[in-house]
Amino acid sequence: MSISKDELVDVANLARLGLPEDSLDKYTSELDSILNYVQRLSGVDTSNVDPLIHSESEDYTPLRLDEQNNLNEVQAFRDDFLDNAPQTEGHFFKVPKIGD
Amino acid sequence: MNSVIEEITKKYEPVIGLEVHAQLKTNTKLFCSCKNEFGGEPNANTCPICLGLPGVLPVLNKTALDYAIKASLALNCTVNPKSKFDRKQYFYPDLPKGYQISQYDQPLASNGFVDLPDGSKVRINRLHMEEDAGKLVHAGAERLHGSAYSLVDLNRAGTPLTEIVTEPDIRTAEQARLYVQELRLILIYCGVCDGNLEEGSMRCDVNISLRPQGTEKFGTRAEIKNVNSFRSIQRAIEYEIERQAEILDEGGEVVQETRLWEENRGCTITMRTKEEANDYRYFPEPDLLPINISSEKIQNIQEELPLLPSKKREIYSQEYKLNEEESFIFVEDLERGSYFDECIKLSNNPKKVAAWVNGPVAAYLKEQRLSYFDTKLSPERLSEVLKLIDDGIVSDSSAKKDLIPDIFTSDLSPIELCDKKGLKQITDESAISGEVEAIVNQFPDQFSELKSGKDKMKSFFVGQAMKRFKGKASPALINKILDKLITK
Repeated sequence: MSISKDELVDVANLARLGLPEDSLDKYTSELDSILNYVQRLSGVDTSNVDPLIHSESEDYTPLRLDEQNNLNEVQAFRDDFLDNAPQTEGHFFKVPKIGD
Repeated sequence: MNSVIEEITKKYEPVIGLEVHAQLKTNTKLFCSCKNEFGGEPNANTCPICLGLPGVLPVLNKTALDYAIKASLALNCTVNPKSKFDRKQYFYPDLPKGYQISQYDQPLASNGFVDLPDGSKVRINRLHMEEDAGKLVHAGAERLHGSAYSLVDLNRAGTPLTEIVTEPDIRTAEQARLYVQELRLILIYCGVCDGNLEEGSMRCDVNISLRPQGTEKFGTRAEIKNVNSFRSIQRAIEYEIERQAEILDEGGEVVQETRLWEENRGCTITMRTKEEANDYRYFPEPDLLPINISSEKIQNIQEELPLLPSKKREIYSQEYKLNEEESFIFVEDLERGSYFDECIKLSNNPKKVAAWVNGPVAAYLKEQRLSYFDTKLSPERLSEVLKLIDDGIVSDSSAKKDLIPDIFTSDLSPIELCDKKGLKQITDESAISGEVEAIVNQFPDQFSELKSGKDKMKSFFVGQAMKRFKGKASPALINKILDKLITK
């Protein structure tokens, strides 16, 4: 087994997914078979290979100058996104009670 | 150190490490071109990137990177030629993307140290860059608990931070406070952080454990969050030392957990235990390629580093022979310090310059709420005043008393001011030598005592002469004339 039922519950919890109790066995076994499949990669000897994190491994991240963006655009944008938010109060986003 | 802590530390040794988040004072955020400012109308400084909307890409701010490198070098760290960003994932309404872009296993810099004014050294484990989260306002309550809903302001989301982590080298609450004060000064000197603790420009987490004195093995630690002033750093650590000592004394075990410092109640409370510890599931940030820093770039930034506080203290005390208090003031108060530095270039008497800057100059500026470079008393002008005193043209005491406030406000030169106010001392030897001789003749007994080597008599004659000249003759000049008469 690559993943236990308890681990599945943990991961679901971290991802804020509410899995019904009676679906846990099904998801555990499905995820397990996916993980087992991917696990085959561990069979390759990579002891002499550096991790390849980005596909363009020779390139470095571009930098931008520390200059502010166009203020008019920002203003127009802000009006838009506040209109699209489920709930606002003044210029704030409003969110439900956090935690208990 | 209070007596309770003193008693505890006979038995247990506190082991303390600090994590400080310092905001970099760039114009714009770390990964987007939104303005980086404290305050501002809620959500005024936001864009699709810092709001975490789909389909956007972060681009690293060059100045933020330069500032972080500068801070690393000032903290004697090795800047790693290659580092990368990672995603730290958790859900909270102040984090719009659901992850924070931070650095995990390849930080920007590592292995530094800070020398503290008390002579101790605190090693730096690492310095890395990350983005800040937004701010929450909890409606109807001061804290999270009890509020019906929360309001989110994302102006701060995405502003650049450096996280600076020490080794567990700190042993007392005072040393922890000293470290944060020194770190703050270093960052201010480098011009990379404004060091404003009230506005949250620097925020501190404390890791602390106790171990029996004389043992090596670390005890179980607690992490204290929300410690955001010099005073609360010291208070929170002292509280935590007492709390952990009490548990250990009763034969209990300290639980590894994250605790929150409650400033108003003066205590720490459990925030989450190890079991509930966040699992951040870090992984390399796919939206950003690695950071490459050339040795030329490091070299260039190294050369830009200003004189740092510890070096300044050394110069002030060893070269200029200033006392601890004077040098402390010039190092802490940047403006006063740089005014003093300018003045000292024009003088060969640092003690005298220091006495003037910290004395009449500081007093006048404080009273008038003016800054050092805002009055007519430029460093050049102050050096002219000091030269007049050195040359005996005006006495130090009358300059301090009678030239203020005019030297700060008048267009007249110091010498013209002395003229106008009749402060000039007699400096012409021939003008007063006859009078001094007359005094000597008036007190023949005292003079023969002086002649026979009773030096104390000198002040008697100087006093007599000063009386005669109503304080306008320079004592140095009278001394000189007396010396001539003695050897005659």
